[in-house]
Amino acid sequence: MIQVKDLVKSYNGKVVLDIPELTIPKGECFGLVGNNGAGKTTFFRLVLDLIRADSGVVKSRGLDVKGSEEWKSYTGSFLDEGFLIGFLTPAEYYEFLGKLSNKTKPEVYMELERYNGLLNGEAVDEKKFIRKLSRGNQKKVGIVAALFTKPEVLVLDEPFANLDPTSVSRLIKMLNGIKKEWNPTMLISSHNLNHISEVCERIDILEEGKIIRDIKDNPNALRDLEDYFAV
Amino acid sequence: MIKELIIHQWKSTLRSPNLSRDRRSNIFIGILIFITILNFFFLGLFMNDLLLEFYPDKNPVTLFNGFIVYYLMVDLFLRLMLQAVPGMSIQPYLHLNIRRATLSHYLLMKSLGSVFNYLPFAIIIPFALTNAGNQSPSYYWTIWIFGIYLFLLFNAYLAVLFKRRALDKPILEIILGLVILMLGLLDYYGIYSLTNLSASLFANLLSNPLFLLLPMTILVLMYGINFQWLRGALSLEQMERSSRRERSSLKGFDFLDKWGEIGIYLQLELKLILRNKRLKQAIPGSLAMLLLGFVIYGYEEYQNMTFFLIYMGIIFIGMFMVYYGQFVLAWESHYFDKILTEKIDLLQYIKAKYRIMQFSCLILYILLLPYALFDGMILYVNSAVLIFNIGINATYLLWTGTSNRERIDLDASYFTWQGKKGRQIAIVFMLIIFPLLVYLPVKLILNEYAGIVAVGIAGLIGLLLSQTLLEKIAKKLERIKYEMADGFRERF
Repeated sequence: MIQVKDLVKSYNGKVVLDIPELTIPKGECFGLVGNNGAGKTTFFRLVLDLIRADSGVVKSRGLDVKGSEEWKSYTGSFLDEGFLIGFLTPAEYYEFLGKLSNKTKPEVYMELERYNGLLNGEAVDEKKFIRKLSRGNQKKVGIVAALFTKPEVLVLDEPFANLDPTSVSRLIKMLNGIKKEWNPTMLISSHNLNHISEVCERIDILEEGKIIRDIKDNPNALRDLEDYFAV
Repeated sequence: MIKELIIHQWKSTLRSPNLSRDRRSNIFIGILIFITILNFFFLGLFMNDLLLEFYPDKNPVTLFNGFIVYYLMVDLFLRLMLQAVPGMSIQPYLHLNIRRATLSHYLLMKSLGSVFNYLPFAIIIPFALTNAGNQSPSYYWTIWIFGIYLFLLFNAYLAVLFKRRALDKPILEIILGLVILMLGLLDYYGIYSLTNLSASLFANLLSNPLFLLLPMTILVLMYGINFQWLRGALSLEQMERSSRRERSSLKGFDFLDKWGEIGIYLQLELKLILRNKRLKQAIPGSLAMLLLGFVIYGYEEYQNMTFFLIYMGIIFIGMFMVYYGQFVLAWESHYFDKILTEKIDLLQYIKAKYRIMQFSCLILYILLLPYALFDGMILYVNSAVLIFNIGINATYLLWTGTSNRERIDLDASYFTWQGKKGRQIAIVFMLIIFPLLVYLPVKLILNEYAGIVAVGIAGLIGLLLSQTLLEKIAKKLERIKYEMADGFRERF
């Protein structure tokens, strides 16, 4: 589904990401862990064609994401609050996104129903603007916005951070649920090793821009990861 | 304690990132303010001669006094739109051991610092100096100045009261604007003269110092009302409620759905404009500008200066377009990443902005139509300018908009300098130069009517080419989006 080849990105002469080869097959949940500044967000931004790579390509369904718009119709993403339109209410935001993918209002609300558990209370307040929501609720709105159109590719940057414990376990359940339902290809980063290993069967460790370990279908994945990050 | 709070206030101003970041534009702003004050100063100094020239048989002091009440009303109008309400800044102090009364006084004292309270001094002081000793003893003029200052402060607290209690609905400003207009017309046709009332009111200040008690009393009353209310309402919740009412109230644009893709973007654009302070204030700002038409179009000297009419037309008609257009695309800096990752047709997206600009020009043009009663020339010029604005200037602004790189603070006030650079000023300058470049040569070769027609034709050509030009802009945006997004991600 996603293929990366010779991808290099540097800022001010310092290489922050260097991935010679990476393939994420369709339906795989690809987890990305790494310390601050390891290049996780940079990688996701390159996948979403938000920054220009120095060299190399990211292909989605065989098409270079740069210069093609195809991927936008089947990719849902939430990286940070830069993906939220603060002066809309959550409902208006979903409606807007729904319109972009040719969904009618009733369809949008039908899809949203299943996320009511996650979007409890305030996050669906009819009249509150997104910019007035708390950090955690903003995050929920952003994640649901990425999910509800049932995209084939899902890119989430640290979805578990800033959420309350109940919401985290709901989100994990939900991600595992959609895997069964329409099995999207997921790219998820996290600082929390427990959470990510509950969702993803493949976890890669990024260090200073390089993928230094690729852990697949390993029952001891969590132990491996903990060993790596232990000081 | 209040002294301590004021010191904090100063620190927060001096240490704000905006101040230190842009030294060069700050110097520029400083010079601009200085020039404005200097202009006002000379206006005040030569006010006597100016008034005598227009009304040789009247007493300039009486004329000036007659104008003051009007000024005070316009002042209130502007304050309602633009004066900031100090509120949230006391949040870190609410839980400390500081008396509520102290905090209330402090908040109220902050309103003393508003620039509206001091700008008039630049005119009235030199005016008082030139007239001192003419009719009344010099110290009476000091009282006169002080009296006007008290009235200004009364205005300040009246505006703050309205704003704090969340009563500054746009309707209030519209009503006030209409009242001013009505009174002006009644005065003009001699039906009821507010001028006379104003003149006698302020003449009293010049003859009887006791009269100072009037502004003093109403000021103290107004301060007291503010204080009483504030002391009771001084909780975080209340402050938040009154300083940031934010509820959605925009259901009426659903019909745009029928317009297809561009309709979706137009709805987003309208919400962007109506729900963010900085852009929202640009609407009354552009409308208030139209009142200047009375001054500009009212004089025959100006009516014969066609190039000046073109210049004013571009500003009057393009006021909103320019404000919105100079940061076009940068207004979305907070969520530009989302725009880039969604399936959005950039051409349609840009076209939505183009339509907004055209629409704003059309509205302002229609509102300007009554001025044609002064002179038919105004109508010809404005019609040509309208076509030029929507045909060429709008496209030009979109083109330059694709070079915007700086994150825009949507919560700043209409008069903020955030994001404004020399480049922006140069762009706005070009908007005025373009039509004059078309007009002047044609006027010199043929005549001024041909010049006006040429401006209109130039705009028409722009309109005909708009599809091609917008496609070019969309392509440029596609190419340049990484740099823009990168700049937009940078916080203040």
